[in-house]
Amino acid sequence: MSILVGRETRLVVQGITGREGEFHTRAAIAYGTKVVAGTRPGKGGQTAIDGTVPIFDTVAEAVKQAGANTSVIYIPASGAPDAILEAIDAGIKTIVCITEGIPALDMIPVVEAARRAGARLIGPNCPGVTSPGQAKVGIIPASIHKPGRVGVVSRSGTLTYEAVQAMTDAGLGQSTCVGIGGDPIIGTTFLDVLKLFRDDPETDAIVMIGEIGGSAEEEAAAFAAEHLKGVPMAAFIAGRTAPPGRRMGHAGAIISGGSGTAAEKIAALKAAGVRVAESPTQLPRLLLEAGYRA
Amino acid sequence: MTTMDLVKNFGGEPANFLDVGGGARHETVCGAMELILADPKVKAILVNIFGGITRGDEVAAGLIEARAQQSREVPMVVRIVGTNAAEAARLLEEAKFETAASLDEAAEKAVAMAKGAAR
Repeated sequence: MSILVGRETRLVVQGITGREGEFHTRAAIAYGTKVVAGTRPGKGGQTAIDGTVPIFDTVAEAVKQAGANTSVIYIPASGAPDAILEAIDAGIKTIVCITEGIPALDMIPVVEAARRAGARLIGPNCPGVTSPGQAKVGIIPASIHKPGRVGVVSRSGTLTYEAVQAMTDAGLGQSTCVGIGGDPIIGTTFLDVLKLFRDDPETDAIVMIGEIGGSAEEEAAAFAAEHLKGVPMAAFIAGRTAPPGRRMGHAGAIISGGSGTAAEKIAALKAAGVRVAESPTQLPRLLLEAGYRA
Repeated sequence: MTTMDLVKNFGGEPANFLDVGGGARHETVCGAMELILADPKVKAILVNIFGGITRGDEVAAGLIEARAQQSREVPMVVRIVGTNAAEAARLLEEAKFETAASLDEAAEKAVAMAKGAAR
């Protein structure tokens, strides 16, 4: 099964003719992802990726004519909120927005529109989602994955890669790896992804990578304590040495008014029975200590 | 941010923290090195890139360009993995950069370099 993306994914790439859009579409196709369409207003009727992917003017046409059911967005921040709304209006139910730098205020109505339409928005400012061996939607490097039964969820792109690489090196494969994004306003939270993993028969253990800022990790910890009792879980929280009041790389990574510290998050996770690593490289060992066997 | 946490784990003290951002091009990296070298507190530089949208060879080219222009010598360890890592490794090897395979190893080396430079 896996979650969010898989063999049933039929992907439309919004912004397929851009530098990043084209580069990562090639990588997705090479990984075996079914890329059925791209969009670029004004280039409808042309093709991309050496003539293999049809370009449409709109997402609605990509849905109607190519059967797209999932979208990935490689469009600059000025146009990305509209691109998400366009995908929602076209009836796409899984939308992955890679774009960094969308103002939080612009995202609020967009996240609400996705919720009302019953569409799942991942991101923005995220690396995307990979279900190893099935589909890769976004920018997570293909080489680090190994198919298996550990679900990985992370706020940070780079730390997703660190964690997944460490798991693969230790022989622990992944069911699905989800980067939820580092912005303060995102479509899908840790809590949402934990629920999906709990309900996925092919996910047996969970790795969660959080960071300073907000309270999403605490909410996830509360959920884990109640609903993920028998599930081996390991976590890493970035920013133990981050100074308060300073934004650390991500828009959402900030200790404000003394809350959102790594110490609070680590304490909440430990209280929920989740093992917390000092370095991402320790995650596989902690999963094994929690009783997981690949 | 984790890079900083690990430097502390190995007994070092981060002088500053610079995130080059996703998709950084070589000129961005070059500018970043200039900023870091402008801080007199910096005794060693740790460059850690796990590229998704960022391409390792772009970063390596930026580092090589920066070193050719830099005003002072500071020991540096570079770890580049992810997208285009193989091309990056080739560029760094030709330019004789000190490299590390894992983040733990890179942090340990950087801390040792900083301590050596401080003596």
